[in-house]
Amino acid sequence: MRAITVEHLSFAAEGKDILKDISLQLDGHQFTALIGPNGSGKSTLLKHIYRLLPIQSGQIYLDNTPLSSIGLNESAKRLGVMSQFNRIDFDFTVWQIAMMGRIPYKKSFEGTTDYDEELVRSSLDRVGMLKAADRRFNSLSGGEQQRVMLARVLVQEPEFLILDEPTNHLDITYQLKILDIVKDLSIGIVAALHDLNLAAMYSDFIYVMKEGRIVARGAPKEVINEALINAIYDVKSHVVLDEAYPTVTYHRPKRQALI
Amino acid sequence: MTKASKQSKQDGWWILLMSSLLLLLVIWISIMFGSVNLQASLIFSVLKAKILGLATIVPLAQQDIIWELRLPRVLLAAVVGAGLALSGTVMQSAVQNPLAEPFILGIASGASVGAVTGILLEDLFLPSQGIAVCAFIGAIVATAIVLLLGGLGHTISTVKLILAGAVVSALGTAIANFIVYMAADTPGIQNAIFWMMGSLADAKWDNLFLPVLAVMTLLIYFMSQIRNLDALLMGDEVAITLGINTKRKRQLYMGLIALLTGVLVAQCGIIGFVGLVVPHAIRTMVGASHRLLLPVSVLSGAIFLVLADLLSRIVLPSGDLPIGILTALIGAPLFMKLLFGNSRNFGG
Repeated sequence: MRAITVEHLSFAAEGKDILKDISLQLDGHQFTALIGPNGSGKSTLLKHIYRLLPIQSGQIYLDNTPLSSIGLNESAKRLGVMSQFNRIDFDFTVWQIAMMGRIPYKKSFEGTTDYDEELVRSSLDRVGMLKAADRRFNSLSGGEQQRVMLARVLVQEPEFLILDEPTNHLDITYQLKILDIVKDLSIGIVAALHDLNLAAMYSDFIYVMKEGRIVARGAPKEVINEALINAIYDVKSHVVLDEAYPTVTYHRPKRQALI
Repeated sequence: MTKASKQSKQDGWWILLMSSLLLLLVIWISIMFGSVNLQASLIFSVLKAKILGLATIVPLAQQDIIWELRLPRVLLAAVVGAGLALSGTVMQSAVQNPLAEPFILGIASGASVGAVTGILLEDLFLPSQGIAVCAFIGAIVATAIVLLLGGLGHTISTVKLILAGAVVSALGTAIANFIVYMAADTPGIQNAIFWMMGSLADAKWDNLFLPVLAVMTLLIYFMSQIRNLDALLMGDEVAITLGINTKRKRQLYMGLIALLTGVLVAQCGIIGFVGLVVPHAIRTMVGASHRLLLPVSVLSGAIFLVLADLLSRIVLPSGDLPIGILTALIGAPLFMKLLFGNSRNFGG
């Protein structure tokens, strides 16, 4: 895939404008990060791209084809999604969850092939969950579940990967590992990230959102700076411009004088 | 871990084979016992004679018991049990909730309103299958109401769905009781009371055809949908990103299950909780994946209801215990355990 293009996307729910005239382009070979405070519309924007929310106004294109004219099954072969995941009341094994990534490719009554099995095996191996293949998904920790969900997305063989807070439940080892894995895929990636340092380390391009608008865009070095962090998050910080990427350290808020 | 998945495939065939054999065994045993106990050899020679069209020396009375009474009844029990288990399994996936079941969601009580209305109107204009048709319509209407109240199409919350089921159930029961009370003199209305408790006693060869056809057709159809059923259990978000139109599939599945429930309830009244008990038990044994869960649940539902029917025939010396009472006595405690035993089930 060359690019995902969003044009003039707006979205309102319950009388509140959540997205206000968003236009952007996600390069099909780059890691794009979306940053911004809670409620800035990052997730809502991604949910439009992966078709959970209907488009109210505006348009989204995969390459040059409007998303609305592509079948759900077809876009599932091209877009892989790893989002914040609610626990389920039903017990699958790790292997079964990973195998679900093949669903878009399967017709009714079609069995699993050796290729499917090998793909599941290698994907679980990649996220370090192969040893747990026969374990029950519900018996895993939050971080392990998230890694299995990533394996499922890898099994889907997408051309473009959408990550919504992919590192939520993970310790730093796996935060880095998961972002490393997806970066190595060398496909297009868009990730909503809370951690500015991770965004700076991994992304090629950053969009900054606040209150439903894109307020800044550019390479990490151009975007991540003290003035912007103060403007967006109302937090004082110190940014060191390393050779490869900027690194942020935060200052504690000044205590209010006790009255 | 290719080894692991291959292993589970083999286990799957074993489980299917064993459940099928077990079903044949309980069917056989169920034909043997009842108000009169019959020897296996007797049954064998009657079956052979009837199927191959041979003459037999077995007395006519016993031939009738085996061929006209017990066999159709046991087969009806099997097919109804299979169908109810199928309904429960599919509904639980469609609404992403392990508590969903035709009885709990008020569908059966809608059917009973239809049935008593049918009995009331029988003399006026209805054809012979009129009661069944009315029960069927009642089931469909109740399903539609529950799903509308529970918010089909948007996200379905457990709390809303169960409460909607309770509302429709209470209303349906009240209306049905009102009709029975006001029309106590109408001939046949006493049948309605028996019918509302569930009964397989009316089984005949003639009324086996429709349930068998419905269960077989839908079983084959839903076996073609096992991947979608799995994905639906993961929640809408995951299912949509796997290319499944969750809203459309959910409406289609619920519509088909309402049809099936209508067919079954019309035939044998309200037999509750089978769709809850059986998939729950089987899920703990074979896991949540429908590739195995669906066929094993269907076979086990058949086994369960054949055994329950046998029990209902022999537990009272005086005659039949309505089978709906029996399944409710087994099912209600389990429902309670599912509802309160694990707080996350009620998380909405």
